[in-house]
Amino acid sequence: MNRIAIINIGASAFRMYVGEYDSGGNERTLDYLVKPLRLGTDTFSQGYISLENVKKATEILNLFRLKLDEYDIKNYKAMCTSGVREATNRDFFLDYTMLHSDIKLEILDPSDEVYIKYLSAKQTVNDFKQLEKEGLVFANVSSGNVMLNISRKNLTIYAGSLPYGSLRLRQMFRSISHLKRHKAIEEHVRVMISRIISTIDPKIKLRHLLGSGSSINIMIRLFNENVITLPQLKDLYEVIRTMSLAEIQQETGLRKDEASVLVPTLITYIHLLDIVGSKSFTFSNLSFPHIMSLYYSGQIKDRQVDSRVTLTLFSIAEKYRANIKHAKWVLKFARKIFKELDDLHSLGIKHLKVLEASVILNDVGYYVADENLAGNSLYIIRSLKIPGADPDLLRITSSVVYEANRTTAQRDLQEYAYLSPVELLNIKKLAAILRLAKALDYSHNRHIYELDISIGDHVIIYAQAEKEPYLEMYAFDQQKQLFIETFGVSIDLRAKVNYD
Amino acid sequence: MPTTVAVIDMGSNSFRLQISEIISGTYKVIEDYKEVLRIGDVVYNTGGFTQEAISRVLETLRRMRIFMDNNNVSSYRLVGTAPFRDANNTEQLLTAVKEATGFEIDVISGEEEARLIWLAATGYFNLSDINALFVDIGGGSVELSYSINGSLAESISTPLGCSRITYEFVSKNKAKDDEIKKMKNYIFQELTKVMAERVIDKIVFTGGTVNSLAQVHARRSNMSDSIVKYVDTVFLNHLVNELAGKNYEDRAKIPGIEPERADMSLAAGLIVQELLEQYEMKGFYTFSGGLRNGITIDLLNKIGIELLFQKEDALDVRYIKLLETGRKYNYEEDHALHVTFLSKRLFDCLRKELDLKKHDWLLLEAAAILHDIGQHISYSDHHKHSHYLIKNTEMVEYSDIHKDIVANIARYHRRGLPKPKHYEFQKLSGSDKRKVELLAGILRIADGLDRSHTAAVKDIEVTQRNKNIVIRIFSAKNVDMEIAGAEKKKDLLEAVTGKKVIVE
Repeated sequence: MNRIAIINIGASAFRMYVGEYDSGGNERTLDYLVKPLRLGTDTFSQGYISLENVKKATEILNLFRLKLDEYDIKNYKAMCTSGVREATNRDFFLDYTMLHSDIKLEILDPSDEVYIKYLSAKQTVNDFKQLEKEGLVFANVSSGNVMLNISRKNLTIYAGSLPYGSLRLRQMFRSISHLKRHKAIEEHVRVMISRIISTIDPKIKLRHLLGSGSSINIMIRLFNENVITLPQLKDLYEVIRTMSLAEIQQETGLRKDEASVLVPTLITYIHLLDIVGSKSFTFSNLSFPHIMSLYYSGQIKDRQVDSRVTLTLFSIAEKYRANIKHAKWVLKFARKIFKELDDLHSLGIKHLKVLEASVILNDVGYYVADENLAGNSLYIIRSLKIPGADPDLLRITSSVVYEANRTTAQRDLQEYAYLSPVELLNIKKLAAILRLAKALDYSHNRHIYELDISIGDHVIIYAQAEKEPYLEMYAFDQQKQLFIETFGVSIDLRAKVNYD
Repeated sequence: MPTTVAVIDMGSNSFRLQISEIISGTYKVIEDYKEVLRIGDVVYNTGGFTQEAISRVLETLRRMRIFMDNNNVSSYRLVGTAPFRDANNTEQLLTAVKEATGFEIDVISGEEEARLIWLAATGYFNLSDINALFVDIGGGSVELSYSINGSLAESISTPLGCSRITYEFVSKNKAKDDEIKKMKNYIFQELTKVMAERVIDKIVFTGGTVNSLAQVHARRSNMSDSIVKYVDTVFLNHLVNELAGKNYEDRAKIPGIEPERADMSLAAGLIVQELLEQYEMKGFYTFSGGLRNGITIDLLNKIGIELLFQKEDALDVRYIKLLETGRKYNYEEDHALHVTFLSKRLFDCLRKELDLKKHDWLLLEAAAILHDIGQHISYSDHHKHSHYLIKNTEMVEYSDIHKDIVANIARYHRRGLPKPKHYEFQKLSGSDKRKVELLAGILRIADGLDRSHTAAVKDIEVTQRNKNIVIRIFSAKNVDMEIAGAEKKKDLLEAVTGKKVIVE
């Protein structure tokens, strides 16, 4: 039996899940605790967590520590989301709670948070594949954030976190009378969602909404159904939108903390349904700690992660107007060189993935300016978040792209000082291959269509071309120096034109 | 499919292909390809194009054709300059090019060359109220264009090209003192023949070799590699002395000097020096891509496309370029312009009180227009992305330091206030930091006042009451959200002025 505990420090409450899994993956919940503490009220209104709440948090964590001891659990994960993540004194919070409860808290990145939730929904919601195929907005509406994962046909179109969770909205507009507050929240939600939607190609049609997050508990308590319809939401909203907190509680029977975020929650779902043009939505009602236990115990896996990441990389390249046909052609050459020279570079599959990502994203920096391609591509790649991608992928990719494009005047990156000689060497190896592969389609005209590589005292690439590859020959000569310096072997390109 | 056009600028030193895409009243260069042929050397040594030179020209044009085919170019123009005008067998070359590639080359006069450069410059400099001199220093000739209050008054061409006079006066790879003296005298005499007696407010040089000199200045001053550069006269004088003391090989080692242009760099420096002295200028601008941008604009005009900054009702170039940048990053223009309007209101009312100068508005205006462009990269941390994009964007009439200030103002339009660990803020001078805090303080409130992005706040009135700053909102709509937005974002202005901001 594999026993695991998950602690989730949310914006409204602390939750702990204790479960165990047998070798067949069967799960048994041993314990589930919820302790309300609205850290988000501090963070979203004053920017930091008050000392009083830091101490209250420590008390709760001490209770959780007793549970860990009781179940003799060494294998636990304690993850904080927006309530702590966005607090200016989050480092103090982590340090203090660690020293006084012996529980090590980690901050969960928003893109990882939405990815884990998306993945669990993928495995637990019926027809998920079909929904995604037709265009799906997966929305995790919680106290701190609304997280969206927009996908269609295995392509992640958008994944990110918007700072307008129900508690945050409530805090933001707390000074406005309850008679008018809904109008401000409506405007705000409209603006935020429109911003995201405006970045998506209008040709991409979205049809379904799938809900998740703490808001789902409220939906279940209100409607007690698996599918929630737009008329249900609108009818309820019309009734309660101008009510005071006490009146909402009386009308709905919700707890005070739930009633206080009902207006923003309803507005968010109504607006999301309007965006996808659907009359109803379904949901995944697993608690977040439960989802994390499934994820960290390896019960849910993303089997299509590689193809999804690649598709997402291409869609990013397209956004920055990179030439996709050229990228695909270069990719073919890069893979070929990588495969044929494996004895020389001694790199594995992880680095092949980096090389592929580097090829696809190489030209994104041109969108910013023609000058400083290396620096601009580096910046854009470092700003990307791709759900499910290996955390090292984009970090190393950005360095490879920088190395492959830097001019002699451009300096070493600062972080090179912290990399091991092997890591640095690997970046250079990949950059050297990338330079060659790019040169082989320098004209962007796909004149060269096939390669054979011979390795002896020096490396010769025999290229078959449809037309005289003038530019490719010229560029190859210019670009091969890094390869020679890195591997200590000379390399040449010989082209044969097949006029047939 | 956007319209795609190509131009090839065939000069003494290099051939440059530029392919551009036309998008909503502006053009974006999508391909810039250069080959250094130095056909000027051949022409000025032998009098014409040798067979070998013709072969090299054909080869280069064939390569350029590949780029053009690949980019589905719908219109193009090839322009030949000084060596084509001066060679004794130009017709032979034109025929060979036509037969081998199908291209027809327009051999343009020096005056036309000057006009095209001026045309490009109108897209980068605000010329409406000043007298400006544009000087293109090529390998074979120098073109001077006088722009008076935004109109091209006259263009003159003189055979003072830096390649030509280097060959004429310098015998070995290091110029002797008497050779330099003779060269200076010759430059003086030739320029005196053609220079107009005018008061000049701004002098702008173009051409690869002079750009190379500006590049040295940029490198040594640790400035960004921008299209438009400013170099002060003192620096130029030092650089000319340095070049005079070095042979070609050593000049080529100076960071910024293109090795292919090292020999001509001294001649170019002397021409610049002479003009600066004659017009008593403290410094000069350079801008790269002058001729090929001019040919592109001219070609677009000829096929009926008028660019945004050329329209009759066009606002100034600086402002148009800001809008173009915003559009490129898909910004929400109505919101950006409304925030700019509100910022202006706040700025005008608070300027004296905050000890800001009138021209500081130009910094705030740019930041207000561009504050959200970082959303193109991602919504989260978009203020930081806006900072990066502004720093790396070509901005007309903004120096590197101005861009730094604008980028920082945009950086602080939301989220945290300036902190000691914020390097990009801390590297500013004390007075610039203060400026950023004050202007970002204004921008934050203006942005908060358009929280709903609906321009719900029609206007504002700003007054001082009991040492407080009072912002009174005028609107026929519900502005609760805007008031909440301004309340949330008044922190920086309150902190930096020590005054309370009241929104009512």
